Amino acid sequence: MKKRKKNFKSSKNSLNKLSLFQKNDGRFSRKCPFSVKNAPVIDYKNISLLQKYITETNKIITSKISNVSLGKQKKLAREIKKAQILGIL
Amino acid sequence: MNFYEHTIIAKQNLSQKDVDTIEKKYEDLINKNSGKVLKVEKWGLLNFKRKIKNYTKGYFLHYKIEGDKSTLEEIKLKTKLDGNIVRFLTVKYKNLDLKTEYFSKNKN
Repeated sequence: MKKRKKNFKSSKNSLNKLSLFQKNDGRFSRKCPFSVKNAPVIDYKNISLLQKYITETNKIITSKISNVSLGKQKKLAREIKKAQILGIL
Repeated sequence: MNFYEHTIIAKQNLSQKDVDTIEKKYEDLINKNSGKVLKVEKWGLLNFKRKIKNYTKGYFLHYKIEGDKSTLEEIKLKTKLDGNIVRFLTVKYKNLDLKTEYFSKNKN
């Protein structure tokens, strides 16, 4: 019996197939909040923005949940760590 | 000449006069060692999320400077000797924006 390789790609396609018939609710196509036109600046001084992306126990929210693109998530993590060094976050 | 953002955290039990002398001292230090201070921001007394050397508050001073490696080494040497500074952080930038202020008094 040929072992069927679990292919992550296919499960993504199945989501798209699924969404063809259903009403396209916002769950599958949420945009990254930082790659829009005039997005907020990611900076270690801008605490009010960074606080949205950490939990109560000071953990950084993963990009799977916060839907942030890869490059912006790396920059976000770096800035959060700088603010933590200064003790203001 | 690179652009840097240098923040200093002074101890919480200093008087306002001491904070001004600290600010003046580091401003002259930077200007003397082939550096240039573009802007000084006083963030005032802020609370720490975690205890740093069992202090819970600190005076924050924020410099936007232009300089090279020698000024940074001089700053690091002097702050290590200075007992009033709890922690400092310098960040290198391609270009600085001097307009946006996140800790200005009138906002919060």
